[in-house]
Amino acid sequence: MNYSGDEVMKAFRIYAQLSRSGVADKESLLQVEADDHVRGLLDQFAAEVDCVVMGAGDRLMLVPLARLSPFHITNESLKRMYLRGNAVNADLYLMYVAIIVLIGAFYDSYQTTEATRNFLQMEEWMHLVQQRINGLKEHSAEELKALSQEYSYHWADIIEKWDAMDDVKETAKRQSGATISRVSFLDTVRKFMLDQELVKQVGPDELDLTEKAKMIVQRYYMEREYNRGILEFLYGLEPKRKEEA
Amino acid sequence: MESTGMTIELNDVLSGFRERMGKLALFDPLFELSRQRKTDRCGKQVAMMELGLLTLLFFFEKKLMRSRKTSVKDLVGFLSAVVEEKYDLDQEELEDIGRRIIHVFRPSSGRKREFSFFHLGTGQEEIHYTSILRTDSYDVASNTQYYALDEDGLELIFATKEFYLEFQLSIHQLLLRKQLEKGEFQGALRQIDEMMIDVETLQERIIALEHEIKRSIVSEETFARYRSLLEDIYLRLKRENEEFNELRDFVKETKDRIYAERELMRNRRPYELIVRIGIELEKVHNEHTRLLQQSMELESSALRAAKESLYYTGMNAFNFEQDIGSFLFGTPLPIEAMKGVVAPFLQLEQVKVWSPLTVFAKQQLSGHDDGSVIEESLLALDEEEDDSSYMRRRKERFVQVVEALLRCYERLNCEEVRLSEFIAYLDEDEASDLKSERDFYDCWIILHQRSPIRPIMSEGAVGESDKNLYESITSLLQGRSLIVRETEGIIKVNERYSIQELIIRLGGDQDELFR
Repeated sequence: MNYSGDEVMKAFRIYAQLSRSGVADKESLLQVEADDHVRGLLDQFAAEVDCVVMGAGDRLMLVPLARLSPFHITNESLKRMYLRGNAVNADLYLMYVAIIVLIGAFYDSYQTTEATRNFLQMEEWMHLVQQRINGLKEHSAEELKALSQEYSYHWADIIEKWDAMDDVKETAKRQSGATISRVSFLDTVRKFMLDQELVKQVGPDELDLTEKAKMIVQRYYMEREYNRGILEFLYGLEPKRKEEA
Repeated sequence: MESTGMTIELNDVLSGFRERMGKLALFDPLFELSRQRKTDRCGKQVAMMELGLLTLLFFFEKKLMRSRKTSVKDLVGFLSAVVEEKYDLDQEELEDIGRRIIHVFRPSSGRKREFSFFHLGTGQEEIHYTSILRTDSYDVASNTQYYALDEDGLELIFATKEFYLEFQLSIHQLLLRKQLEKGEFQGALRQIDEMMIDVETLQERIIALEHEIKRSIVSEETFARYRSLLEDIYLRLKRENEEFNELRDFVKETKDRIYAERELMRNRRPYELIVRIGIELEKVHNEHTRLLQQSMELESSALRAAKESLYYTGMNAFNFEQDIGSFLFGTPLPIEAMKGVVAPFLQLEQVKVWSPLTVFAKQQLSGHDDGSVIEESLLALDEEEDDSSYMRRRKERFVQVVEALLRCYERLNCEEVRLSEFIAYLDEDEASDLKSERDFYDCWIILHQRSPIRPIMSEGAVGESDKNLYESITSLLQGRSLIVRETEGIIKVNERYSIQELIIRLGGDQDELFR
C-alpha cells in the first residue's frame, strides 16, 4: 500500500495526541472517518504498541489491548505512583483483583449489555473480594504454587496479603490512608481508580463506573473480535491440565 | 375443535409486551412496601405503601421547588408531620420507616431494582431494571446523603396520575392554556414549574441516550431503534415548540388585555402574575429550544456511531463477572492474567527521559513551569506566528519612520538632513512619540547597515525575510534612493536613548549613490 506523506503525517499527529492523553478530539475522528488510509495507518501505529483505536461518540480513544505488553504501564510505575512506598508486587496484584471484582460487580448479567447496578458500596466491594479470595483458597497451596512457577509471585502470596489485613484497624482514627486494613487498602484502590477516571464517587461509600470505564467494557470487551482476542489471551495462560491428566 | 372465524395474530397481541411489563414493574416497589409488616405502639398496622407513595410525592414536590438537598432527615420530618395524629410512633421508628422506604426505592446493595418476567413471545425469562430514586449529592462534612427522583420514579408518579411521561409536556401546555383562559394565574405558574421539570427530564433522557449510543456497539437493529426513538423525540419537540410559540402569543394577548385595564384595582395583582408567567414561560421555552438543537446534534452523532459500528460486531451477551472474573479466579489462571485483563482500563506507560543533547537544542522560552513539553508541531507554529507578527510590527514602524522622514524633507525643503535635525523636527510632527520607542533606533541602525537603499535592489542582496520590508520602503521612496552615513557626534535624545549622528540623504538618481 502506498501512502502519501500527508496521510502519514495526519495519522501520526492523531497518534501523538492519543498516546499522550488516551483520547483525540472530534477533528481527528472526522479525519479518520473521511480517509481510510489514515485509519489504516492509525490502526497500524496503535497495533505496534499493542493498543487499539476506537471511536467513542465524538472522539477517539486509545485502548491498550488485554495482554501482557512492554508498552503498557509497568508494575513499577503503578507501584510508585499509587501504592505505599514499601509496596510489593503482591499489593499490586491484590489491587488488580479488587479492580476486576469491581467491574464484574457492575457487569454480571447475560440479560443486558448495560450495567446492572447504579453504584457499589465499599463494604459490598470488600465482601465480593473476600468471596473471590475464599474461592481461591479452595485450591490447595501446591496447586496454586505450581501454576506460575516461572513467576516470582503466586496466588498464595495474594491470599496471605489479604488475610493478614484486618477489616478495619480499630486503633486508627481514620480508615483511609496509611493504616493497614482492608478498608484502607480498598480506599487506595478507589483513589487509583478515581485518578484513572474509571469510577466516580456518588455517595460517601458508594462508587459508580464512569462513562469511560463503561465504554471500554461495552465497546472493547463486548466486541466480538476483541473479545475473542481477550479469551485467547486467557486460554493461552490456562495451565495444560488435560495433558497432565 | 372448531375455531371462531377470526384468528388472533399472536404477534400483534404481544407487540410491546416488554414495554407493558416495564410499566408494571414501576409499581412493584410500592407493592413490596405494602407487604412489609410494621405496626405502631398500639399495634396498629402502618400503611407502608401509602407512605411510599407519599414519599414519592414529597420528592416530586421538592423537585418542583428546585430544592436539591433532600435527605432522609427531611423526609422523616415530613412524614412525622403527616402521621402525627394517625399513628403512635416515636422518632426512632419514624426514621426506620423513612429508611425502609428509601431502601425499597433505592436498594442499598446498589443494584437497580430487578423485575423478572416470562416473555410469552420469546419464551424467555427477562429482567426489567428500574431506578426510582437516585443519589443527588452528598455532604462530606455531615456525612449526609441527598436523594432525588430518578426517571422511573417520575414516571411512576405520572403513572399514578393516569398519563405518561411522553405526553406530559403537551398536557401541561394544554392545562396552562385552560388556566390562562380562566384567569387562574397562580395555578398557571405552578403549571410552568411542572413544565420545567418535564424539560429537565427530557434533557436528562437525551444525555442518557447519548451516553448509551456512544458506549454501545450499535447493530443495525438497535440503530433502527435509536433512529426511530430520535425521530420521535424530534417530532415531539417540534410539536411542543409550536405549542410554546402559540402559548407565548396567547400570554402576550392576555397581558395586553390586562394592561389595558390595569387601572382597575382588581387587575393589579393579575398583571404582576401574568408578567411573571410570561418571563417564566420564556425560560422554559428557551431550555426547550436548546433541547431541539441538542436532539438534532444527537441524531448526527448517532448516525456517525452507526457508521463506525460497521467496523465492529457486538456481542449479544457478555458477563464480565462470569466470563472474565470467574474464569480467571476460578480456574485459576496465573496471576499475570490479571494484569493483561486490567490493561485496557489503564493509561499507557509514559516514560520521562532526558537527553543530554537537549542542551544543544534551541532553547525553549515558552515552556510551562511544570516542565511539560509543548508538542513539537505546536511550537513550530507558534514561532512562525511570533515571527510574522514581529515582522509585521517592524514593517509598520519602518513605514512610519520613513513617512515622517519624507514629511521632514518636504518641510525643510532639502535633500539631506542630519538625524538630530530629523529628531528635532519630530517634535512638530504627528509622529512625535516615535522617538520614545526603541524600535525607532533599531530602525536607523538597520537603515544605516543596509544603506544605500535603492529603488531596485540587486538579486540576492536582500534576504527572503527582508524582502517585504524593502518593498514597502522603496514604494514610499518612489524611485529615489536613501543613503544613510554616519558622522561625528552622539545624539542624546532622552534619558534612555542615545545614538550616533547620521546624515540621511534622499537621492534623486542612481548615479549619485556612487559619489
